Amino acid sequence: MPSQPEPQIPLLRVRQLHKRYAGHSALRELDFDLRGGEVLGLLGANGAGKTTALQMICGALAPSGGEIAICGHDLRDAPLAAKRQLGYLPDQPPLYPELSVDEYLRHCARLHRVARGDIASAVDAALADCDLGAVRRRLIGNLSKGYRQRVGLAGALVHRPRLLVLDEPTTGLDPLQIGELRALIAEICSGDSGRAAVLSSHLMQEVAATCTRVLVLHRGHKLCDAPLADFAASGWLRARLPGAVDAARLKALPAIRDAHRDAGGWRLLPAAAGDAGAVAVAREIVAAGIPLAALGAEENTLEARFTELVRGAEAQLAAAETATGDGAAA
Amino acid sequence: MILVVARHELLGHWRSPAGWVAAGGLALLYAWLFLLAVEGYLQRPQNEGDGLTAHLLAEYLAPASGLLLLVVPLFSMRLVAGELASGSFRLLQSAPLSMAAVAGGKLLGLLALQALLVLVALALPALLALISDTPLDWGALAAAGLGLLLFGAACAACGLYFSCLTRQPAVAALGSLGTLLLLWLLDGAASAGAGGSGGGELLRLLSPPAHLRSFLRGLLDSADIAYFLLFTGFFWALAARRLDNLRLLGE
Repeated sequence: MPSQPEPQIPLLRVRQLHKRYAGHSALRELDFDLRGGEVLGLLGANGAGKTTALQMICGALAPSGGEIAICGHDLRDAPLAAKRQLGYLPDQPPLYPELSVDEYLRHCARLHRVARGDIASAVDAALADCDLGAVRRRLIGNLSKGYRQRVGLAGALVHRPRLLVLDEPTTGLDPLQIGELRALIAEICSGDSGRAAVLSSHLMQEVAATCTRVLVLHRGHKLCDAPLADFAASGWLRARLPGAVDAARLKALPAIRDAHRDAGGWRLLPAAAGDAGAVAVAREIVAAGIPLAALGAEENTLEARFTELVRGAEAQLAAAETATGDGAAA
Repeated sequence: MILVVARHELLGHWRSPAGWVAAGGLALLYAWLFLLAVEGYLQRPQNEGDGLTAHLLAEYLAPASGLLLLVVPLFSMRLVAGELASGSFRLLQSAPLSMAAVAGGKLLGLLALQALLVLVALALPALLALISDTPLDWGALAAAGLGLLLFGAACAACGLYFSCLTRQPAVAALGSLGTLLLLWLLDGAASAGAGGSGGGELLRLLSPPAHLRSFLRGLLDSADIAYFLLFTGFFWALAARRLDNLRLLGE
């Protein structure tokens, strides 16, 4: 088994990573580090660059530029040493339908250089982790989609990698299996394990329930990279204000920095953080004679924050394109 | 690590009905060719022509090499194309092994299968010698067996390369079969047209069957061994290069 990496060396180090296809940039200047105990969620719409980023991290796709280091091993200069620390589950699990689950996991263990004497125990552990003991003798081609996904995950785990890379890992799983997978990832990447995971998803709930950090991608650009707690603490409040209320009237209140209405009701940004800010907002709304039916912290803030980030990025891109068009016309 | 990939490939051929059908069909064709060769030997006037060993080399193992050329593309077509189509190639790309090792392992696995098929081809003369107490020149037969193995390795390397070029196994089989038939025809063209001219000699130098001929006479020519090793090494290097290039395309 590989040795424990030095604490100061990130398990994954990505610098200035970019990828171009025929003049189109699929990913631009991506930078981030990942340390033991972290589960990073790559969040983005379809075509945002999530799979491209993961494929490059796994060595399945050559970057147009930039650096990737896994446990201090540069993926370009020392690819074999870097890949020994890596377990990868692509969006389509890399399975051989003609093999049984047991045979497949043994093959994966051999490919990842698990010592001959440790293969049986490594396979047993992976089978137990993914709850595959009952189907270990069955052919993969005869398994359901959910089971195949779990076999793919077991193949990525069998050599106990330090870095786990999962592309849309819950595809095809039922709600119970999704819960078990989340628990498994959390257990594998627990604080003192020295392991970390990167997973991609376009599902907010999945990222919110599984990850400790979120990196938002949009059209190949990194929009945000922050701990999940920062996303949850966006500071917005949700209010139900019956009757006709003007946004300008709300913004005029000193306790409210910003206010707008959407399909879910009013979103209010308090001037002060925490409970004190919320109390001040409630007090001033009532004092101003505006009917207040309900007030609370915004729910599902990851989705709101993601939408906000993407809309902001779209607006910037549109402005940039307009400026470019004006410049060309001039 | 090459052996891990080779083992998987070798066992993979026996996990599908297609592998058994192809190997069984080839064994039946070997048996048919062998019976024709033995019958031809028995029907000719006594004390005329070559001995039994030379007759078997010319009338049994020479056509058997043609069969090998036709069958190897069927075995090699799925080596990489099948994995690209099913998505299982991602497992090899993310594993700690080089693409040269992947190509080498796949080639070695197919060579092991071919070694079994060559042994089957040589088992028939051995059976004849055993049941009829007929003396055979085992040195000449072993040389022919080595020639078939080297020829099969060259065909397999060519097939491996074409399997790296596409996701469609049938296209890979057609590409490698067409290339091997073209190289086969070069020998015929050299013999029929150019005679002893420099162009004819060059065509003959490029053609695998021309280099197999000495083995099928029971001779071991180091130049012919070197030719097959270079031919195999050339296509193995092209395949490894192509697999590395797949990373640029994201396949």
